[in-house]
Amino acid sequence: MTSQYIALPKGVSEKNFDAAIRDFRKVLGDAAVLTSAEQLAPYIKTMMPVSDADHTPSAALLATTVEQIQKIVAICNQYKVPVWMISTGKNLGYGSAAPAERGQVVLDLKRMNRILEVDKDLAFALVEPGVTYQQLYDYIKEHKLGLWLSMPAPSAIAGPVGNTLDRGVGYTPYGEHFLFACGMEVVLANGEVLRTGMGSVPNSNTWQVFKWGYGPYLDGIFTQSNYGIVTKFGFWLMPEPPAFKPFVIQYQHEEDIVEIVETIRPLRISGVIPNAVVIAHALYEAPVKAKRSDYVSGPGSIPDEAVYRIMKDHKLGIWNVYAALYGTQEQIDVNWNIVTQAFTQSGKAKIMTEQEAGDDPAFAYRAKLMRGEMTLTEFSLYNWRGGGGSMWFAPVSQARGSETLKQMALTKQILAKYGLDYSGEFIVGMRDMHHIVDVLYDKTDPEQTKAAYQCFEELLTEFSARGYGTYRVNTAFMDKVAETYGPVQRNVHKILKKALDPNGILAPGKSGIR
Amino acid sequence: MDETRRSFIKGMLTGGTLLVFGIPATTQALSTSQIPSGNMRDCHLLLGNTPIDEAFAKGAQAACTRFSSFNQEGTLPAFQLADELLTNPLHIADLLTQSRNMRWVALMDYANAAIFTELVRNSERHLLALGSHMFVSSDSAVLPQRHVWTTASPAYSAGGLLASLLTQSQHDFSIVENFLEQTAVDKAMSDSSLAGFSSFRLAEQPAMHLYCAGVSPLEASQQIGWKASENWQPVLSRGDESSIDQDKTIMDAAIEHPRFDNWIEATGFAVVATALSMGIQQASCSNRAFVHRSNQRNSNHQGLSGQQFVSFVIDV
Repeated sequence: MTSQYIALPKGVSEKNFDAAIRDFRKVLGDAAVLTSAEQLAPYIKTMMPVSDADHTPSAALLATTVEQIQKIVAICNQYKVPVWMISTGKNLGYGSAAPAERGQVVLDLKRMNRILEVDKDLAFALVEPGVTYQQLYDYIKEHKLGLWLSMPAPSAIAGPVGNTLDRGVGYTPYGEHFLFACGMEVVLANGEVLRTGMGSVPNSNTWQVFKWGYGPYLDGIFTQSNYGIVTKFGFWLMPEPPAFKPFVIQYQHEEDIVEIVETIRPLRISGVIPNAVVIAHALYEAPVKAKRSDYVSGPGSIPDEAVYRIMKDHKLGIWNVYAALYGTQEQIDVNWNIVTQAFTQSGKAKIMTEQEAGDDPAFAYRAKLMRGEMTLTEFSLYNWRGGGGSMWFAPVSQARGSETLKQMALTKQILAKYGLDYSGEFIVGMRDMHHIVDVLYDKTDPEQTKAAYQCFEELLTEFSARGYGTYRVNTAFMDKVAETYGPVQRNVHKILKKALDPNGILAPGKSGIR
Repeated sequence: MDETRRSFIKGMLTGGTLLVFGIPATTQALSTSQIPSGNMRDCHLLLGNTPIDEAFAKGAQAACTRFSSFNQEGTLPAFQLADELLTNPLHIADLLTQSRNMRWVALMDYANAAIFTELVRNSERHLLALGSHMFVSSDSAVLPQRHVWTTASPAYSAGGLLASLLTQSQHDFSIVENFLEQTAVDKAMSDSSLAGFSSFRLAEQPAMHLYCAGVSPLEASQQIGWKASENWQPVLSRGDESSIDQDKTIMDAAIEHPRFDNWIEATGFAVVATALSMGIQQASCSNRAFVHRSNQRNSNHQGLSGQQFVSFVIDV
C-alpha cells in the first residue's frame, strides 16, 4: 500500500504519525504543517554525495511562537517523532535544510523572524531564528544605527542564528561569530524555556551585554548540538568605523603560504589587522572570473599548468590574501605602514588597494564581505564544475606557516587522487586557521559522486590521523567526525543528550549525537 | 522611513516589476478550492540570456505551440533572469512572494539554482520538478549527456518524453528520475513502453523501472549509479494487446513531436510539455531511468562540451 507520506520517521508507524500530524495541525493550523511532496521537495535537495532519499523529511512544521514550539515538543515526546530544527536553512554544503536522517520532521523557524531589539549604544541585537542578515542589514540602515554586521558568504539569504549556532564565520573583526554571541532563549525537550547567562535573572537588562551569568556557562552546549531549540539569540554588532581600507596581497607560489602566515600571525594577534583575513587559493577565486571548461576537460583534477594560465588570464595570485584595516584614518595610516613594511620585506608580495584593484569582481565581493555588506558572488563556486555537488571540508590548523603548507599539500594530494580540484582558503583567526575547502563534484556523474564520497572519507581519516580535527561537517559525515574526537567526548555528549532529551526527539544524529 | 511606508513603496515597486515582466500581480490570494491545477495555470518562463537559455526557450515555445489548446495565447510569457540572483536575490524573492496561481518553468546555472531553491522554500512554493542537465565532452564519458530529475510525483515526469525526443540525436544519454511519492496511475498509462527501449523491473525492487536501448540492464544500472543486479526482468511482451495500445500511445506522441537536433531545445520541449500537463508517460514507481547507447554513436560533441543547466517547474 502506498503511504500518504513521502517518508516516515524511523520506528514510527503510519498510524502514530497520522495522530502526530493531526495534533501538529491543531497547534499550528493546516497551512503550517507541510506533508505533500510538492511542499517538501525544496527541503530535500542537498549537495552531498549520497542519495537525497536518505535525507527526505516526513513533514515540515512552520512555527511562529515559543508556545507553539513547547506544544510541538510535547507532541513529539508523546509519539516519539524526531524533529530537525532549521532557522533559515541555508547550511549549503553542510546538508542544506534536509534532516540528518530520513523521516525526521523539519521544524522550520523561518516565520519567527522578528528583530526584537537593536541597541545602538551597546551595539547588540536580539533576534528570532528566522531573521536574515538582509533583514537586519535593512533595519540597521533604515534606523541609521551606524552598526555593521559580520556574515558568511551566503549573506543576504542566511541568518545570524543558524550560522552562529553552527559556529560559522564571517570576514569582519567580528568574524568568529560565536565569540560575539551573548544570551540565548532555548526551548528544552521537556518544554521548559531556558534563558542563558543573565537572561535567567528576572528583569535583568544585562542579558545581551554579559555572557557568563553565574555557574557553568551553558551557551556552548546549544551550538552544533541537539540539546534544545534556540528561539531568541543575542549577539554583538560592530560600530561602523570612521574609515575602512580593504586590500589584497597576491603571491605566485603555493609554498609562499608559509611566508604569508608567518607574516600575518603577529599582525593579527596584535590587532594591527583586526579582521578574519582570508588567504584564498586561485581556484577558490577563479569561478568569479572563469569557467573550468575553458581550461580543461576530461577526467582528473585540474593540472597546475592550467591553474597558472587562469592566474595569468585573470590577474590572480596562487594565494590571494584579503584583509582590511578599520578605524580612524590616522589609525589606518599607521597600521598600513606596518602592514606594507611586513609584507614587502621578501619582495614576493604584490599589494593592491581598492583603488588599484579597480573593478576586479573578486576584490569587490571580498571587500563587501569585509565591510558586512550583502553579496552572493561566492555562489559562483557551484558553476566551477557544475552538477550540483559540494561539500565543505573544514579542518582547523594552527596559524603557523609550516602547518598550513602541510594541510594544503595533503588536501590537494588526496583530492587529486580522486580527480577533484583544490578549491581552498584559509580564514585566519587569532591563533588558528579555518582551512575551508569546497569539494566540488558533478552529482549527475555516479562515478564522480562515488569518488567524492570516498575522497571526503579519506580526507577526514587522514587529517584526524595527523591530529587535525574538523570543526564542522555535513550531515552525511557527522558520525565519522564525532568518532575522530574520541570515545570520552562522545560519551559526555550522549550523557547530556539523555539527560536533556530522554526520548531523543531533537535532531537525532546532529554532530553524531543520539 | 516608517515600516508602513516602506512596505507600501516595496509593494509598488514589486507590482511594477511584475508588470514589466508581463506578470500581473494578484492582490488577493485565492482559496485552495479556487486554485486551478495543471494546464489551467498560466505558465511562465524564467530565463537568463545565454545561448543555453535561448535554446531552451526555443524548445519551450515549440511545446507551447504544439499544445496551444492548453494555453490561451500559444506562446509562453518569459522574463529574463540575467545575474539577478547573485546580485539582487530580493527581486526574485519578491516575485515569488507576489505572484499567484502560476506555473513557472525556470532555467539557470548551478550558482543561481542554489539560491533559487532556497527562495522557493522560503516563499513556501510548490516544487514539482528539479532537473540537472549536463553534457560532458570527455571521450572517457560513456554517457556524455545526463539528466537527473527529482520530481514530486510521476505526474510531473518529463523523462519519458525527453527520452523519445533524444533518441533522434544519436547522442548517448541517461535520464534518471527520482519520484518523491508514487501516485497510482491509470492502468492504461502505467508501465508503458517507449519505442526503441526495452523495459525492465527489478525483482526485489519493483518500484524501480529501467528502460534500456543498446545496452544491457546490468550495464545500464551500473552506468547510472544504481546497484548492479542480475535480476532485471523484462516486463513487456510485444504480443500483449494492452501493451500494443500503450506502445501506440507513446509512439504516436513521439512521431508527432518535432525533431530536435539540439538537446537543450529537446529538454525545453519536454519540460514545458510536461508543465502544461502534457506528460506522455507516467508510471507508478519510485525511480525510473532511461539509458540509451546508439549503434551509430554521434561522437561530434563540438560546442556541446560543458553545457549544463538546472531546470525548475514550480507552482506559485
